[in-house]
Amino acid sequence: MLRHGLQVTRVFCQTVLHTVSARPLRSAILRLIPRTALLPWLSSRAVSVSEWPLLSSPPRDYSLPNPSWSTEMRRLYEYYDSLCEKEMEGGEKKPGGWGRLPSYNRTLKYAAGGKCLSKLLKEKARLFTRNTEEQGAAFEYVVFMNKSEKRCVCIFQAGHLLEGPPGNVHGGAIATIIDTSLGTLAGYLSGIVMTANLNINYCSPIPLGSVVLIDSVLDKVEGRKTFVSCQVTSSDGSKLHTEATGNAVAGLPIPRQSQHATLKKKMSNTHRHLKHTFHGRLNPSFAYFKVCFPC
Amino acid sequence: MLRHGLQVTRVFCQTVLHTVSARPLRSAILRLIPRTALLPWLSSRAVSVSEWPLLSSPPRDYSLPNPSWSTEMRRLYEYYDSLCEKEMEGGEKKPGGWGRLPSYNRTLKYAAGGKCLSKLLKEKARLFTRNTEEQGAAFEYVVFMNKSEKRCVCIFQAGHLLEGPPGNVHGGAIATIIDTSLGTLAGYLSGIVMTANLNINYCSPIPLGSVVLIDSVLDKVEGRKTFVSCQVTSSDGSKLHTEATGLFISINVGHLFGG
Repeated sequence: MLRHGLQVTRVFCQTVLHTVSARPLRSAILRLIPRTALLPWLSSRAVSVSEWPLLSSPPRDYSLPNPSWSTEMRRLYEYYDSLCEKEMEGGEKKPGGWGRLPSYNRTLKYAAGGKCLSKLLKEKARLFTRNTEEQGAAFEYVVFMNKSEKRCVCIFQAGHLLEGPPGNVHGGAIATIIDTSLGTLAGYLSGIVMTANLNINYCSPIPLGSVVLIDSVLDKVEGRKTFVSCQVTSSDGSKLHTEATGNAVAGLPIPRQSQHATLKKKMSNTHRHLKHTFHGRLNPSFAYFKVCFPC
Repeated sequence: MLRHGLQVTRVFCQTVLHTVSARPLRSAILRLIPRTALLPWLSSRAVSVSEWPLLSSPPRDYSLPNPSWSTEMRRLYEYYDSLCEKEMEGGEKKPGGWGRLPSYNRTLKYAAGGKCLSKLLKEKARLFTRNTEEQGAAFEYVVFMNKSEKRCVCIFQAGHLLEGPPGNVHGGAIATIIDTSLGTLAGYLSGIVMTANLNINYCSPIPLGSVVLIDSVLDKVEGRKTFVSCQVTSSDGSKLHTEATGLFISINVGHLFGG
């Protein structure tokens, strides 16, 4: 209980520090906080129920079946769920390479004591993909992780609030679920991460209400950078809707104050690359995430 | 009135054709519909009030100031609004290179008779960036277009429902507003378009509730491909949050219906 209270305090201090501008003070405090206490922050690692403070119930997990899920969504959920490691009666464990990740409506809630913390800091804020209580209206998704294969699969059903072109899913909504999926994989493998680049090729529109699979794999890790890629396909895997797949990004960080002339040159290089790759479609895009935890 | 009724009927037939599987019949009907009647479909071109059927009121325009807008958002809105072409008293026109684009909560509503059409087809569907009625909760944005400079500016205020990392805007929400902004520019210049590629570099996180400017420019047009790029900066232009490039493909409307 005391150790738990300490954990909550550590996490709270970390957040408060965001606003503290004195760098020496911030560095001094950070050195006091062991890294392991902060790993739950922002990562989607499964948290066991026993870690939650006795005072409050665990936050609601949105990645569980609900009445709005279509037959196809349920079928895929049950398929991947059957591949997960499970506790059987008698204390035995049924082996499985996959694990279902819980999903809360604020990133803060992954931290120990996060539900209380969430009430203290910007209480009305909600995670973009979990910002509506109406089931089936916006994003319905579940992420299954396979740690040994360094791969994760996200089953996604798009609701009626995600429209772009009439009858199809908005390009930004597709980008959001790709960002979520790739970010979850990168975060699970590399700790706390933030998106640094997304490169998405849209091949075929996704109809509203349909179920798609987002299959993400790790390409490589270079220091603080984690390169991941994914493909968005129809539920049977036959049709490719979108790709955000892996090519290494040349490694210099983006300068903060980019001059327009430099930007134009960069853009024309990117467009030349696109001109040659768009028709090919086999040499497509990539994403990378920078691990932002101060090591 | 009759011409207007014809327009509504054309658009309605067009939609009904989605389900018609007989290709020769579909092609025959399509040849009867001039392309210009379909241009409002999916584009964000400003539509004058007089085009709306007398039977129903125009759909709600979400790109107008409301109580949830911060001081900074209003300041920027008034600045760009002052640069717009306006009708003065006495019928004169105050010149201006910019124009504010209206924003509805379904792409269908840009078409003539779109409000009625919207009730017939997937009535509950909403445009992703306009899917909540609560003011200031999600996306609050206005797009100003400068046709001669082939440039558009989007003023965006992120609400509390767009969180990603605690206290900052979700990467996907930033991608969404970039897609909207680039797509609006590409669509205005090249007709009906769909996104083919987005390449976004995130440089600095955007705090929830802050106001940013998305400045988009046209790079080039190659046949059906439109290349656009943008920068997302703080409201005074000093801090670069995100850079992006986009490729949009013009859609041949006949292609949508298999014609």
